[in-house]
Amino acid sequence: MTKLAVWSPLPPSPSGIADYVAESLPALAHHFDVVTVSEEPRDAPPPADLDLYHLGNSPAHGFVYRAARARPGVVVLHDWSLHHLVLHETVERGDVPGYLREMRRAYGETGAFVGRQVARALGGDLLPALFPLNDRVLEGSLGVVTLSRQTAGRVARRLPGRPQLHLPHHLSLPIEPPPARAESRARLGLPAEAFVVTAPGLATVNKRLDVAVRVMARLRADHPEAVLVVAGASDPRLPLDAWAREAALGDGLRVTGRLELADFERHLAAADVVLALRFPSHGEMSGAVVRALGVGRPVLVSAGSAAADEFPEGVVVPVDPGAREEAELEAFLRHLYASPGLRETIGTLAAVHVREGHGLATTAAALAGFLGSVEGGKERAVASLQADRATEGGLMGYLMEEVRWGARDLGLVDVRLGLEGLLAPLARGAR
Amino acid sequence: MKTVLVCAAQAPFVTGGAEILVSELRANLERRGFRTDVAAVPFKWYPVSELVRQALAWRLLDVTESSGIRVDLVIPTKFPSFLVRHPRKVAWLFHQHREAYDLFGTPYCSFQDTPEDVQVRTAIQAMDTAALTECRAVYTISRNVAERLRKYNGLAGESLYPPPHHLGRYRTDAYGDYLFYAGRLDRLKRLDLAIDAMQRVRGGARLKIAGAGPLAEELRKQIEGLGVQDRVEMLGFVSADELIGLYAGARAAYYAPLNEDYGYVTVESFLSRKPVVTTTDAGGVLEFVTPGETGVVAEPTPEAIADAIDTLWSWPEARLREMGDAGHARVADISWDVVIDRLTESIR
Repeated sequence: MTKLAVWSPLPPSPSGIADYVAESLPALAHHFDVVTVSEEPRDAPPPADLDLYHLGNSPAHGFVYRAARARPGVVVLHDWSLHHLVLHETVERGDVPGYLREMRRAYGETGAFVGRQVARALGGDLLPALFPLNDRVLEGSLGVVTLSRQTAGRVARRLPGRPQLHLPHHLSLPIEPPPARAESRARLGLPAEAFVVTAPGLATVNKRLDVAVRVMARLRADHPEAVLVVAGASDPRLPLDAWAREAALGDGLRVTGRLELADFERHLAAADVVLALRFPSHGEMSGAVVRALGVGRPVLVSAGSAAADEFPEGVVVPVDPGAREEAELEAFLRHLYASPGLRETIGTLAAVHVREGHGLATTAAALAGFLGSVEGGKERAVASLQADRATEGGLMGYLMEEVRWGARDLGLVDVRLGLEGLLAPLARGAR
Repeated sequence: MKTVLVCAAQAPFVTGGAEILVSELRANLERRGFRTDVAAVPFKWYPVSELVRQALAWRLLDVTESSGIRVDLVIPTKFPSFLVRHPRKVAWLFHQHREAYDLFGTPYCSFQDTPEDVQVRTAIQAMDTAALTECRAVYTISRNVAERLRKYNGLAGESLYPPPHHLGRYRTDAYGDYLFYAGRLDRLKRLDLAIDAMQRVRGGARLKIAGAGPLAEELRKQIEGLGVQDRVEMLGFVSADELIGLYAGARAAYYAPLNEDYGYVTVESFLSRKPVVTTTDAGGVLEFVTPGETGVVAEPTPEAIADAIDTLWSWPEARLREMGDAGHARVADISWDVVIDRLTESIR
């Protein structure tokens, strides 16, 4: 049986990806001899026929990122952008030049300019989202698995010809069938008759909660029983309380803190509407969205985000993140408030959709088939990756990288440029 | 008919001495019966981080033949055109990328003391050494350029002076009351020193500056700031006839760039039989100017230059004519035939 090393943070690491991987392991074990690596190995990495790297845009994935660069394997790209991860690996470890090198390598002169702003913490949230810094791991991979159609399209443009799988994000619910709304509210202490809008997952600045707080405050002026529940922990830098005070939301905001998966599901089931806005989007596919759809709740997502591209309109409700975002969100919520039948219709449609295409056994089988085919061509693929390359620390590697940038920019990552013969004589001029 | 490809790095929309020299090289190769073309690749030298990438474009080219026509000889000129690959490569080196060499660490250099810039500098030096080693022969436009090549790359180069643009048309009218400079107005030419000196001269010397460049406005402000508008005149771009006339009527030429590669002003001035005022650190200019014989050489300070100008103004016209004649004799052998003979030696 093929030995598969699965690299990822695992529970109790506070990460949605850790949960995702833990859920998928039992199904994968039907196909492979699985060994997990959930932290930096003390010695050599475990021997394996194939490595599977789960990469997300957070520091928790630092050891996976380093391993993926050192030993080619299959990369599961949970986020399109790995910018924050690379920032953590470089700037936050005091290696600003290393970060600037990465930015220039990936985006040329523009990258170097933007990198200088970001390294001084002047980049805001938008710039890192626009410069995903994922080229290293993508180029060095034997294959790429994406969890959204949006990211799959981007990978295909970046790495034409490289084995790739668009794997629907699996649906995994700890309580199956999902609990009823009333039962969940009773268990969680939420009012039975309230209009509950739930924002699931870690509350971060790109979840648009400032907008949601203002909209909910206006909704409560007319419907005092409406309540906004943040079902998860909140980034300590996020001034949620201040926003609520400013908007006079009063006790219409509840923040649960980090939840066990069962209670997380209960909060989704307790909701009338689930709010999963994200802007700027880093191309991440949200497990919370899939679960919310699975329990049959209408989910509002940001137009242009991975979730909006992944699911048909009607299964999710896209909200334009532009200048009219707040007005649009308010109009949707008022309409859904007034139309319980519509809420049920959308929720039912959502549940049917994800239960058809996102089942754990189906997705695990698809992943196993893909990994098997990559493993079959591994020897040739590794040889191809190593061809026409040189150690980057040396002059030869530096010269090769300078030329290869032009090919990368044209999506010709896999094209053998025959650089060695052209450049080796120049590198020999070093005194 | 033998074929020659002249390789030129060019900044689009910028025409300077190097571009003129390339076009004259081509014209004279054709005059001597060679089928000639020029391959020019755009070159951008800033920011420092982009230099190597820009330079390597040359390495990717195959110029051994074109549409079935074999290229018998390639003549790379300045950095980075000599990175081109060809079995018969004879370089006529105008200059290397001086910021990676003699200008490194000076105020005229944009390289920083960072690992990235050090890497770029190391790479440029390595590439230059290797690519020039591939050449059948390396000629330089001056002994100064050859000396830099020896010092920094450990390579031998033979100087082969290029004739100035208007060879055969220079003349002598009079030894007037002005010093003359013609050329690009950039920082390395150090016209600021001359303008400052003009505030200090005691004789009746005036300075006429012909040419355009990025420093024009700054120099104009300096002239106004020092109140020397009555002594220093900025003429802007002048025609060929005007240029020859200005040399012909000047008392002497001023030319004191920092470690200049070659310097047409010196040669043009000597062909007009006029001495040259220069400085001890002017590089290629000093290959021609012998103090007291063909010009005056001062320390690179306004005070010393002012003294040198006053000295020149104190000499009678006969002395100036004598120096002009000596200068003329010094450059009389510079000709295109000598240049073409040497460059094409391997295919004739």
